[in-house]
Amino acid sequence: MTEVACELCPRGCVIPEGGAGDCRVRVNIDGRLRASTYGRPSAIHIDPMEKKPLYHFHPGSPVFSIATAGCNLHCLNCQNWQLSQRGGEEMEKVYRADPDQVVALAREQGCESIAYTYSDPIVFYEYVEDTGRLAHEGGLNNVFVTAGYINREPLRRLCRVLDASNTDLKAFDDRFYREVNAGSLEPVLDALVTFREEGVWLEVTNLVIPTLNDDLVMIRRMARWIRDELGEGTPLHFSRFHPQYRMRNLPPTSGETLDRARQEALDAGLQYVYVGNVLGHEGNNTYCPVDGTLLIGRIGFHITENNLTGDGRCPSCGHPVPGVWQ
Amino acid sequence: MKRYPSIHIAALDRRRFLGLSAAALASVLPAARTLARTGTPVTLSDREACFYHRLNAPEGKR
Ligand SMILES: [Zn+2]
Repeated sequence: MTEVACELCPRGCVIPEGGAGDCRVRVNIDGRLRASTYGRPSAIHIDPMEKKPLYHFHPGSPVFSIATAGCNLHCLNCQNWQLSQRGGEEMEKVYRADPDQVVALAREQGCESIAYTYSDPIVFYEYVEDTGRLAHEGGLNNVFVTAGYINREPLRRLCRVLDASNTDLKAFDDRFYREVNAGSLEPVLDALVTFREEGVWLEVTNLVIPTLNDDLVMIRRMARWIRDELGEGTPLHFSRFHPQYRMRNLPPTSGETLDRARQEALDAGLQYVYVGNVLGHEGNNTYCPVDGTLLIGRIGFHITENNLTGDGRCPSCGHPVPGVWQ
Repeated sequence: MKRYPSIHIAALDRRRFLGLSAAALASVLPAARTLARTGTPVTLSDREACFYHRLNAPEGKR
């Protein structure tokens, strides 16, 4: 019996022959580690870029979005637990889609980008890389929506095919990661820095859960870290929690809590701070940090107006807004 | 909150994908549980090989 140690994520599972890693999808077969969901997505949708959410990357464009079963975190409040907390053999639906088919279908559907999303694409790493390479050859962008719980070396390699990421920063607190996500904070911070160093366009999402990670002192520390390590122009999305999966005991996040979190982050010097999952909130819009001009108006995932100049500047003062505007 | 109408695969060209039932999948998916239960040998292509791993055996027999 040959054990294999998986070195993809910080979990470092040692997997006996015939067994699977903690993610349920990386399996040891005859002493060889295999990605069992390669080419076998269980979710395929076309979403707007704003749903990822990415607000500073090709706004308003449709994204061909895929996911396979499995995840290397186990969040008590997972939104996609039917997908993420199962192995491929437990799924009701599994499609066969080789990388070239994914790219062809994305083009056919008029999408400029492919998103690897819903569960955590870290666990279908090889499928992302192969699809991403073909997507680039075909002139498409690759978007990686992740919790960032991955080792540095594999992430660096993957960044060669990635154009943008929305990465969750679930809390600025290691204990929260251990208790709510079955993970840890440090590797996620490393991943955020790696995305930035490798030139992948980066936006950060923080889901605010009442009583668990809504402490304003912690939010301030998080915002300052983002400002210092990733830059003041890094978009930060505060997202509203809805009770689900194994966390049904807490109420949805109140609008006031989200407002306070947003103000705290703006006060800390972040320039683009958003509120997600709240329809019609002014925190859905992009404003010029210099003179307050409304740059991009949004309702839900819909763009109501886009006043940026062709090269991504404020039309009033010319302030360059970081992002990929095309 | 209003849900954005995602276009599900059902609205796309289904012929390009093979929707497998859980039972059918178990016969092709190289999952450990399936192997343990049936003992069926599974052939795999190289592209499914994971990039980042090492053998845990001290001698590294393979
Ligand atoms: Zn301005």
